[in-house]
Amino acid sequence: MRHFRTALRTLRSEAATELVLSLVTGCLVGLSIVAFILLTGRLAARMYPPESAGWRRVFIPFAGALVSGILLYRYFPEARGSGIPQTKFAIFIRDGYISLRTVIGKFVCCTTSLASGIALGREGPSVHIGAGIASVLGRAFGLGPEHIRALIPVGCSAALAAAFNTPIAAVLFSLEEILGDLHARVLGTVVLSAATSWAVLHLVLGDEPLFHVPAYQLVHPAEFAIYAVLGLIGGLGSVLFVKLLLGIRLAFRRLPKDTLWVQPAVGGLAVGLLALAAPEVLGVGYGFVDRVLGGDMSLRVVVLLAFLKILATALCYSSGNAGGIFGPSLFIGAMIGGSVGSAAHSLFPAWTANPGAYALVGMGTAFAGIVRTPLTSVIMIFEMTRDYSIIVPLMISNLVSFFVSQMLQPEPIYEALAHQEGVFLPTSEGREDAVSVSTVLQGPASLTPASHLTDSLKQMSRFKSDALPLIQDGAIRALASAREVQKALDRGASTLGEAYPDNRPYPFVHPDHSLSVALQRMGAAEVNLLPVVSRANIHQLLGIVTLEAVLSSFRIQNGDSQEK
Amino acid sequence: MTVANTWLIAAMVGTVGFGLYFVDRELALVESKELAAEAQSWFERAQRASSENRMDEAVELYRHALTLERSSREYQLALSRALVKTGRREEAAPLLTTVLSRGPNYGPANLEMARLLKAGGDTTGAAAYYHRAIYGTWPSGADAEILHARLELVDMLEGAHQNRDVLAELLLLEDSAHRDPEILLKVARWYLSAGFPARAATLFREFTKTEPDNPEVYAGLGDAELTVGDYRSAREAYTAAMRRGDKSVSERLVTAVELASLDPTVRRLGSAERKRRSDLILARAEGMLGKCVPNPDLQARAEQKQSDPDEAVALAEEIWAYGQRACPDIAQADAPMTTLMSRLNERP
Repeated sequence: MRHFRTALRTLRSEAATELVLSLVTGCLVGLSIVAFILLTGRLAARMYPPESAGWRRVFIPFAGALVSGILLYRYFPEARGSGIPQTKFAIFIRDGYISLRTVIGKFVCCTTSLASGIALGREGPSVHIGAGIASVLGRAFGLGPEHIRALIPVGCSAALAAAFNTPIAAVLFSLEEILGDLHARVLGTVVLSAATSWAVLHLVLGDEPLFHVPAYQLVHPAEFAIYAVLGLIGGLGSVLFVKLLLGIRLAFRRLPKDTLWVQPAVGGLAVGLLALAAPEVLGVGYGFVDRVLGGDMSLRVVVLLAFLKILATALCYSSGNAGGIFGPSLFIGAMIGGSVGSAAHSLFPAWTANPGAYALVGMGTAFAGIVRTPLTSVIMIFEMTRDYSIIVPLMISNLVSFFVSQMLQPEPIYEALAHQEGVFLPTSEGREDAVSVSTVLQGPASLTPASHLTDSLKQMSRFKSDALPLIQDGAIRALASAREVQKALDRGASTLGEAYPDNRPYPFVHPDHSLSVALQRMGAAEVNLLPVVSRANIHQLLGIVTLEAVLSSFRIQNGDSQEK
Repeated sequence: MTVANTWLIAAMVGTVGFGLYFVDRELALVESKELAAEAQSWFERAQRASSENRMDEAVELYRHALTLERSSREYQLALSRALVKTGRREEAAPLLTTVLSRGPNYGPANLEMARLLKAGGDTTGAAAYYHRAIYGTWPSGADAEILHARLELVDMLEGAHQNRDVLAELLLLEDSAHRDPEILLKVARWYLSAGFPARAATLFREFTKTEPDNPEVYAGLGDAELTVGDYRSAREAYTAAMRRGDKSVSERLVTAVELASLDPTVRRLGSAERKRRSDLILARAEGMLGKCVPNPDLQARAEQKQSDPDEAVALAEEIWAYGQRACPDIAQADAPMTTLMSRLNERP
């Protein structure tokens, strides 16, 4: 009883600690990200006052990238990149460790580069900052590695909720992309921190959606086909962007390491030169996204901007500037959508909505194709615009883009970026391809209470196992193990009924469990055979699974993966 | 970790949090002010472009302003007006809908929507929005705009020949015009065109006291009296208008003079003069009948001498009615007779 009470107190204490830390993380991250957004915006406004001279568009990105490049090289090497792969490194490789120095570095360097017009986004860095704050907090309160790892997605969701004003999408993204598990144990704390951070954002900045869009409606069912075409084009555009970014990044990585400090400046100069022709490529460009969502830009302009932004962002990211690709993905998607919408509307004006509706769907399309989180993408666009009427076209377009992108660029961008760093993170493939117990299930083998003990031992050795289920009246009573049967023999018992006079709890698996679960339970029970039982009735024996069969199945899989 | 350390760290975290909160609030304030100032700057440039009729440029500039200050009704309305002027009504409508969704009683937005619907030919819809504009909420000192809205509404209803609605609005307009002579003159003209000549005549007559030298007043009075059927007064009014320099009424004066000499219903007309006029009317009717499709019965009755003036006039009316049916061109060629017969026919 005393143990139970202690366990309960510990459990309550851990749950309370998690709850409190989620709230604190949500608040602190929310406030930090709001400061990050506001500071970046105000600095950018000072660097580019209205009607400023053209030379600013070349000089300022170059200078900003040079400054942040030096800072990243000398003082904050861990703050490089978008922040998403770095956050995943922290979870899966570094026991959740992100230093305070990295957090500060990310904040300062990203503020500098984004304010100077580098064509990257602020959301990826926000995720890294949020994860870092969570990590620092966890260590400050003396938590162990397991708890600190669990805090990382809490910080991520809080950051994204504040950066995008999308709490639901923030939760989904943290689970779908950062952790790769929508059923993660941390769901509760992730939701809580996202909600807290969102509340903080509203307290300081009020309730304005990120983009204002007029209400759109589906004009004609034929539009579904056009949205599917948009998905196709969006998918192709996403692949172009990813391949370009990865290709240019590989080229930059081949340069000598002592040029790391100046590489970002090359990206800055390149985007500055592009900005001479099209100032819209500077920064994230949400103002222009707003305009194209209103159907306000011509076909020629949106097509040009789509290509230029793909090039500008790829150059900026690959050259090592601090910043993310979420925002640019939305920009690219909006321009692609606007292009398709303008063309469709000019060809079929009676059947199609305003091009702004297509720009709206296009944002989600590119996001799904580039980041490969289709569910998050749908919810995010909905939360950003609060326009429910466009959800079905969004789903269609997102999925088409997702499949096209997956077909032409099998490796998602964040995995590819991690591989370029020499890091191999857990992938969704591992989970999707998990083999279930049903594939190695063998026919029911069991013993009865009337079985003699020596016969029982012989039966077990025939199955090369050290256990077999004991069945009476068609229901499992216990799992008879060789060790206990031997002990009963030594005591003078003759039948299994004497060795197991009462029903006993026993380890088991269900047919749809993965083999890893079977292995885990075999290890915990110290047996090499488990009964496989029905989910509707755990006393109903469906078959058995042996250690040998499981290992044999893994050997086959490993052979396959090695061949790949 | 000791309890004391935990509290210390919690205190530090709390301090950092509060500090961040105050920093955020200050930054938010700065951003709000700077964005508002920048938006206003774009808006002013847009207003200048609009006043110089560079409407496409104005639209772009208004959009810039609106991107920075999304909730500004003033910017949204200005943009919608600019879009309408550049012929992009379908883009203006959603903007106005957005403004109205946030404030359905906002007068200026309702007025713009009314104008938009009027331009699209939806008179009924436009009338509804005009009413919402007139009775909606306006910034202080907007009386002139409200009055102007009512004038636009009346103009639209008059053009659509919705005379009853016009009368209702004109009565209200008369009250709210605050004795503005320009507006009251318009009101008088509208009374006349909407089919209420008596009210028009009353208003014009009042004007002759306050604007005795305005030829337009006398011309209007003449038109009203002519329509009412008081040809003598119409003659006097037209004469006064001509004396004050309005030569355009000369033809109408001739008509009024002729009608004044023909009208047998004038009060205090002597019996001899009434007989003379009724005979003259009958003779002219007979003359028209002679040129028209023959009607032996009417011909025969016309040849009989009518001793009673009323019977003579009644027969003339009957002949003229026949002429309107059988040979309208011939009948209407004699405009004064047509006018007179029409008025006599309306008598109870």
